[in-house]
Amino acid sequence: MSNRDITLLGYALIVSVGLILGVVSHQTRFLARVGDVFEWILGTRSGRIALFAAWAWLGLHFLG
Amino acid sequence: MRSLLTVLRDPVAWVLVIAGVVELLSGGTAARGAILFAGAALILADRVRISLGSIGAATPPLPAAPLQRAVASTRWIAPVLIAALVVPFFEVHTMPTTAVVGFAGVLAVGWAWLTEPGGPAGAAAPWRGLLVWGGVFLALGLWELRALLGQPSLDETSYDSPTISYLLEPVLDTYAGRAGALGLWILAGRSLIKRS
Repeated sequence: MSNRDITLLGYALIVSVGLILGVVSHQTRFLARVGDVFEWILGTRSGRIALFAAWAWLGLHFLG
Repeated sequence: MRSLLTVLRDPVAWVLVIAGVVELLSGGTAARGAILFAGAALILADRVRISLGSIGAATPPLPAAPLQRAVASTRWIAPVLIAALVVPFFEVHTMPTTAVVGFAGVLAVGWAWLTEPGGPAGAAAPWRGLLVWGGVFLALGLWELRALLGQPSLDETSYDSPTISYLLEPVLDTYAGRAGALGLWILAGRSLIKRS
């Protein structure tokens, strides 16, 4: 297995875990939804500025 | 002096500083590094503002509601749709795209700094969610860092050690890919503003 395969497998694994956790958080109360976590972070002054900076960076990184 | 040191203790600001340094070391543009450094600087400035609360500067000066109402209404759809359809005619990392995305990013970060969060003050932290979702994003970040360090150099992409940016290049080389990515980015920003 090449390094490329391992790298791609890692991305796929992390994204899959995220999707499974997303489903779990929508169907149970065990885990907060990712949107609720973001909402809590947005309720803090530092987290709010950091999230908007991260959003702006994502746009500049991939598009700008 | 003691309150100044307290201001410098905010870990979120330092995470942004480290991210900005990594961005510049990996060949990122000055604009990408600058937005992260600006975020860190505004967080520290915010801490200074709070520590100066006794002289009447503790709260941000602007209300958040007008922009939140604007993005929740249908007024925003036409200009955003036009931008999402016109901007992708230009390649990524060209001046027109950088200008539009950078302008929106700077406005959003400035808005976040100048307005007060609308959520319930002192709401209990969803610790389990923070840890689990934080773990997922941290794992993705570390895996991306591993791929970055596996390149011949930090600013030279590699087929054998692909980063997310490298994998998305073929998608963003097409008009449809750029329009879709820009649309998703705009919707994510709208969601952040609405939830703030």
